[in-house]
Amino acid sequence: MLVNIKEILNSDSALTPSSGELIYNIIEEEIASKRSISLDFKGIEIITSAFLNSAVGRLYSKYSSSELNSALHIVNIPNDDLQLLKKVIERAKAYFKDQKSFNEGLEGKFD
Amino acid sequence: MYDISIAIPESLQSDFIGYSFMSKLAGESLLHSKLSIKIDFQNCSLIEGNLCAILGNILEGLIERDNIIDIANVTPATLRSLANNGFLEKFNYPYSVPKYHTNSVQFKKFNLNDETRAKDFFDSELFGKEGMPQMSVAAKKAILRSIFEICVNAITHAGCEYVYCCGQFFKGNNNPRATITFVDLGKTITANVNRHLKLLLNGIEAIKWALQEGNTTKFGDEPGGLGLKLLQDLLFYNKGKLQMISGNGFVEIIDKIITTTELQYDFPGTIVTIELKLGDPNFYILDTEDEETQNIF
Repeated sequence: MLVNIKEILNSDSALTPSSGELIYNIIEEEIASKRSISLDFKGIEIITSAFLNSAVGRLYSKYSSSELNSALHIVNIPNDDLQLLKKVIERAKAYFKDQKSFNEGLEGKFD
Repeated sequence: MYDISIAIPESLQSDFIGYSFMSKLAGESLLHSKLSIKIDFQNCSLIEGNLCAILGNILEGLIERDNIIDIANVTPATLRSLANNGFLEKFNYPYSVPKYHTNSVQFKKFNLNDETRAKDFFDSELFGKEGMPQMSVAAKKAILRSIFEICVNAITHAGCEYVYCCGQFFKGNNNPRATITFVDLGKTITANVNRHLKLLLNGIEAIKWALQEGNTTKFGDEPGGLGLKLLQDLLFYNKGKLQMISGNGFVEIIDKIITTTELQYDFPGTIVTIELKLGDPNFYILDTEDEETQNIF
């Protein structure tokens, strides 16, 4: 499935977490159904980290890197936005790793 | 004739004294309702236009609390800058000078429901002005992105419906720059950080914590903590300036050097002022090599 972000958001800007959530829900549904999905950034002029955290970063709460690499593909993204996406991915991995360690620590304390 | 008269000081600039005045005014104004209030500019001979974002937000709050606001005695020295950025028009102050938009970013409040409109506004207000230095597409894009990181942060974390902004250009050949202020009267950074960390940090400590990469007060399954880092990176490359005021904290960053001052009065919200240098059209150089999009997760 090819998802054109501009068409979904009806905007050439992808700025807010709520816009990100629209895209997240589409991605999540496809991956949960074992289908692959391509995110098309064509026509998007401005992207924020807030949007990408919500659309993509959250996926790491449910899926591993290998699952995402096989199911999710990125197309027509300018280099600077791709650099931002990579930072968001790096940050999301660290965040969920920390969160997992934190939760495991809590479980250990309250077992 | 009026219940209260608020005197705007002789000089109102984006510095400790200016923000101290705004903090005191913002805090006191929360206590006013159903009063007639004179905003007296008689003694004011200098006001940096970007500060109209803060003053305008405070005045709108007063109006929402059923106060009647009357702007009075605007002097010739400040008339132009207050007229050009739309501030006087917004608060129904009659004036008869021609209005030129070229040296200001208009006073405006945002809720980001219409993202394209918000982007077009800043695109035109920042880059569409006569006499603006030419800037690379990448630099323009990086600036717009950082502006929206600020706006989204304000709306997401402060819990307010709107963020207010206003800006002023200084276009002379010597050090051309733009100063833009964003403000919300919502939850302070201090309150958010202390709730998140379960600590009792002061305003300065809380702002400094929020500025560190990866730190976010979001809970749950959504990571964050990149927006303010991107903003700092942009201003570092641009040789610009970042000021943040929230609670009793005032933090200023120039060339990665952080200066902090404690305010006597808490600001009941958050102010972010950015100063962008406009003299270097290619300040934001990006790697032009195509990057791989496969297996990036």
